[in-house]
Amino acid sequence: MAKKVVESVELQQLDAVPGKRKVVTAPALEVVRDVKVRLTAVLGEVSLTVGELFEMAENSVVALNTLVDEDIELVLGDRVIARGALVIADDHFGIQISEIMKKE
Amino acid sequence: MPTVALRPYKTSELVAIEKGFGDIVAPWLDAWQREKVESLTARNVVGNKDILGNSLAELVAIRVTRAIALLANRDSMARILFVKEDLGRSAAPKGVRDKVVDDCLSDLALLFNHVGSCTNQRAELLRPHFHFGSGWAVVTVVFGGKSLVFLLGPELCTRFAGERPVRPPRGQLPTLLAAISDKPLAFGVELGSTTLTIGQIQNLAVGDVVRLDTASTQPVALVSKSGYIVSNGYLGASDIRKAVQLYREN
Repeated sequence: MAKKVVESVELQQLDAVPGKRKVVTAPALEVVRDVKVRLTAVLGEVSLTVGELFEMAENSVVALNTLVDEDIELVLGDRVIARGALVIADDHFGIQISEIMKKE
Repeated sequence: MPTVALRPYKTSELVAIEKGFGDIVAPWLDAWQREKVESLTARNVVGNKDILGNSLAELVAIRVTRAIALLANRDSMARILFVKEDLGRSAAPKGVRDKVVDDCLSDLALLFNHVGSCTNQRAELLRPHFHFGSGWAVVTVVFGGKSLVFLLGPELCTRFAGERPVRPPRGQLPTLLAAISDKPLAFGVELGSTTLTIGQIQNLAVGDVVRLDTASTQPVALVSKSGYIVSNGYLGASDIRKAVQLYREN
């Protein structure tokens, strides 16, 4: 077998020099469009004191701070991204979007 | 016998101790208030005269003892909590009780004798008053003419009781919780979740229906700010507001 000529590789130091132009050329949202995120539908809030909480028994009813026909919120992390009506679709709860929050 | 490592006091600290509410006390007390004992703060406990059943002087004493203790040794005081619980029950076996009493008292005696010798005040331990059923104990100490109430928490009692944990009796709201029963809490009510891609979210339009993972027969969740599911319940209405009828899973 013929002897192969090999050369060792020496990696040069790369010095980070501040530049102005961004290197990610695709639009930011295109890059992350396949990223999966968990969205939660929030019906509202309940305010209770510690005492009330521990007195809660089975079948206790607690009222929320939202009205029966008020839109519910679709939340990503701690940010509301949309509001809509509470619906049932294919035997599952769902939210029919009525308002999409503007991007900041 | 458990030992308490004591450090020398600065004169300013001792003056503060003698005055009871010197400048040195406030920062320690503040630090204590930030310490979480299952979300119970010093203000909740010390401020609630009725629940504690203490005179104002005793409450003051609690603050002062806490400050003295912190000055003496923070570690030793981690074992001595100042929350009085007087359910009047005695569930622990007598042998365990005696051991706890002896160990607590030797800790306290050491601490107080040291403080006493630094301040020329005589410290005298009165007969302790323990309530093992509740997991809390009360020790009264006369120090510098003041009656100081030491309140020992379950952690300390449990440590001395070995394998047998001392727990509050079931079936009633423990007084610790009673002390903070007026504290308001807010819970989010979550209908359910679903997973979408950023692309799908971007394409959401008014009128679209986002289906959640929760079947319409499933309960919704009461979730605390820290993300803990407190309870589950079925969605309904109470008058004009949305409401949840709670049930306990299992």
